[in-house]
Amino acid sequence: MIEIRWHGRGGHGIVVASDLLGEMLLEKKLYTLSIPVFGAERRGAPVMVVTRINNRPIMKRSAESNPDIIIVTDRHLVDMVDVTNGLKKGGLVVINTDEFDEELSSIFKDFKVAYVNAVEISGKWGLKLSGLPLVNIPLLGALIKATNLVNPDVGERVLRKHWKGDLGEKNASVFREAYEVVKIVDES
Amino acid sequence: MSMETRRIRKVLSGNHAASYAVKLANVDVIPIYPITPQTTIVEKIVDFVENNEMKAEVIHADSEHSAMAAAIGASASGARVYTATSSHGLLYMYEMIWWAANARLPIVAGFVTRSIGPPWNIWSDHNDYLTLRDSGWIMFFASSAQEVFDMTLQAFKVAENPRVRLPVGVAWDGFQISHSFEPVELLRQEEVDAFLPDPRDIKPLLNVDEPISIGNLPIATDNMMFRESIWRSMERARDYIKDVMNEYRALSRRNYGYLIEEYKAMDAETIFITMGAISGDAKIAVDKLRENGERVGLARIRVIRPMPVTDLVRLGRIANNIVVIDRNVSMGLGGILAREIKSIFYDFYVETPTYGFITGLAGTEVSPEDYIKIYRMVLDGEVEPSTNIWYYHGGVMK
Repeated sequence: MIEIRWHGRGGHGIVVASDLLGEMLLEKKLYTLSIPVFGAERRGAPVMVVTRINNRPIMKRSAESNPDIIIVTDRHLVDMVDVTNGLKKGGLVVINTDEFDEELSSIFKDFKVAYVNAVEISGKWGLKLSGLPLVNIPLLGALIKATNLVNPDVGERVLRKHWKGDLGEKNASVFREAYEVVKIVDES
Repeated sequence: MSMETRRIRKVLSGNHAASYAVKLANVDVIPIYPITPQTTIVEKIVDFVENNEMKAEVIHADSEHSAMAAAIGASASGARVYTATSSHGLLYMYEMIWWAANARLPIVAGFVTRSIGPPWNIWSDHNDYLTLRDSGWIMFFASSAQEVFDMTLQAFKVAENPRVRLPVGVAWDGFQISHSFEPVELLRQEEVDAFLPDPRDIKPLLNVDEPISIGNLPIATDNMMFRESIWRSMERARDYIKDVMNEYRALSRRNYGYLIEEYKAMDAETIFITMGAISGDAKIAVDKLRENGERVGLARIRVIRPMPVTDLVRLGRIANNIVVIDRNVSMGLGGILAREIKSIFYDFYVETPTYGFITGLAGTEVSPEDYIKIYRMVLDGEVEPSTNIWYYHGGVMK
């Protein structure tokens, strides 16, 4: 079983991104379970999603996790939340950041890191909600590149099916661009 | 065969699985009032209706009480009716809950369990749903999005059977099921049409050609006879539910058992009894304990009313210890399932020590490690048989 834990804020779209990952994996006949965990139902509050992927039905529904992968939508979350708690040794961190500086390098020193400037990519393609660039889909593109979980063509097709027309195109474009530009460093 | 004969698999939340079942069941009237974590069921249904994928009357009620009142009126006129609620919404609806059962109306409702405030809390425990247990509603409890879909379809068939004619509730845990997404296989429309009765075949309670009054003042003995007829229908429903689940199993090729699902219980010395979303973690604990040679198993309650008496007595006779996990509490008495199971055991001279753990309230975690700790507490004699052992995640006894 592969466990992915998403750390974001209410409004960042990590629930949607996790559900779409399940949709992308459906064609591979894999079982997925995407469990949202949040305190207040409020925009901006820290939220979490646990995604489990397995080739057998998934029985575990408690949120406690020892993830193989964590995804962080906002680099400032690392100051508020113990994002690497339980992350397996040599595990993967996928993070939205404009630069991979010394602070991040030291926090994630035991892990493999895939980083991408999700704000810039979504801003460039005009993928915004209430004026703010959406960071979920670029991070999904970065995750797919770093893990090879699915063929990126399947990913784009699922996004175009989920959002029709122009919105589908925007999502597919940011997904593809993040897939192509994500930088991967192995600190472990 | 052509594409149309293949079933669709979709990644759905437990709530959306219910919405798809309601769509495929061709429900006529859906009176609604929103409350977290139920709301996304009816949001999806409204999407279906607005996009002309479904032909139904959606009534935006001014409260849950009015939503169930509208459901009662629509069902009495012969319509197939669905509604859904949670927690405070269910409590606000409560007077009409009893009305629906006493008027013998085959309404189907989704109950997404959520703890009752204050303090404010949107997470799951089962006290809201368990308030239905004396009312005459048949009560199902699902533990996955797939099972929500399957049980919702079965619920219509059970409710509308002329020898049952009672409302059916289908419950599932808030967030852990309602907002968790997983692959769900849908039945095809033709399959559902063949499985469910034609609602037009049901004789409606209200008929302009044969006017009657409902809810009038009868003499007391007649009134008591109405209650006894509900009792008898509930008793008959026990077998009929099994028939419906059997027919559905052959159709869907999915097997959950009937009133209970057993997991490695056949040769078990200690049997956990659970209900709802926290049962999957218990199965993992059973597997881990069995790897170390422990003879442990699980029974998951799928139908609470009518109560699976025969199954529970059989398990009580197999096991040396019964460990009931209650995600609820009856204040001043103990865990509701543990108390009910103990009283059934008394009727049938089952003297197996029965331990009732109250845990998972207000959405607190119950992990595989918690079940292993509970198992050790029982086997090591750290707790006495009782129905009110309070257990917090991580093994803390406060």
